Amino acid sequence: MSDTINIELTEENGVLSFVMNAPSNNIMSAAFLEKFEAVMDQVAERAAKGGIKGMIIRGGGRHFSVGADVDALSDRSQKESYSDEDGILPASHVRQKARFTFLRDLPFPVISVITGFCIGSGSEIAVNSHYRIIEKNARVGQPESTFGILPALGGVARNIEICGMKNAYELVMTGEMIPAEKAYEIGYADIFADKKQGVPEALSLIEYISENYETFSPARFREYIAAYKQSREA
Amino acid sequence: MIIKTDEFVTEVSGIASLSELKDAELGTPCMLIVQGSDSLSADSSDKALDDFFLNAPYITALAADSPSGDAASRFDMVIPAGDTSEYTAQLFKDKTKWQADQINACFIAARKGSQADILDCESRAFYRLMAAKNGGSDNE
Repeated sequence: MSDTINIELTEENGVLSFVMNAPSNNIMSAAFLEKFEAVMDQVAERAAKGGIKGMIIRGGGRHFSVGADVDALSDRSQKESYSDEDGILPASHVRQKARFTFLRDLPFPVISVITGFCIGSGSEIAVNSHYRIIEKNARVGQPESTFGILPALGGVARNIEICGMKNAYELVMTGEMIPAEKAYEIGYADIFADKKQGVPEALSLIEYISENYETFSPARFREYIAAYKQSREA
Repeated sequence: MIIKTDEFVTEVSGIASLSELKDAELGTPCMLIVQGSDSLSADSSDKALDDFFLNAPYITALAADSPSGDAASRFDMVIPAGDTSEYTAQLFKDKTKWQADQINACFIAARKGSQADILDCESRAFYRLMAAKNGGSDNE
């Protein structure tokens, strides 16, 4: 595989596609995160212009993302300082975290299509999205605690919100990887799809929301997916 | 009431009402587990009991298979009744009490905090944990 970090944002028929194609199964190195932040700035600019129906986030290869390079994260953190006395978080962290969490506030549905491994900070991209469509054979997890840390880019807050206290606690505290079926069962994923069906499902969900609602209100994201799933059962 | 404690877990059994917990010596575990029979009661008008569960500095779990709604709703989670040692060993495997407490803080914040509060809590806990991982002060 090429060492090039190819993170692309494209637009077609009002749908943004954010595709991650980086070395080592989209490991989130410092260079990856730099590009990620730049692309997220593009997303914010594009959102401000209006006319977007939805956004799909996915891995370009077999895996969504294996998450952060823990050694690189550790090196970076050593250069940053934080003290409970002044309570000021490092500016770089605040900036980076905002590029993850803002996904939830976008005025169109953001859908992560999860294939292969979706781990650590990779999972944090997914849980900051409004919706997750998980393909068969995918595996997700928040293993940060097994490295002595915890997910800090929304991984705790969003997992509690989408999976409930017990499931989120088990995910974060044990750090165990769970299969797609269990991720769907505990509410981590909204839709379980067969292999290669994640993107068509995401497009179908975006079309449904676009056709049935005048605007997308992020605070009502649960309502839209419930209606979509009900419409599929009818 | 029978209370068993270790570094991570306080386990309580043999109570008929959750109100008994308010004055019990429960220590400072990461997790309080109450083994609850199906008849375990909770007075829905007991404000002090509400405060006990809202402000508990640990995760609260009810171990019961068919708990009453009044009792179960007070806890952070409901887990299967019976021996919980395997479950808790898996949760706290390879962690120090201090590390588990840092993670717990975010979940405890979730009881009454907003998403913004939890997001803030996880960032601060991250830097404390990372400082300890890198050999610095762990703010103990």
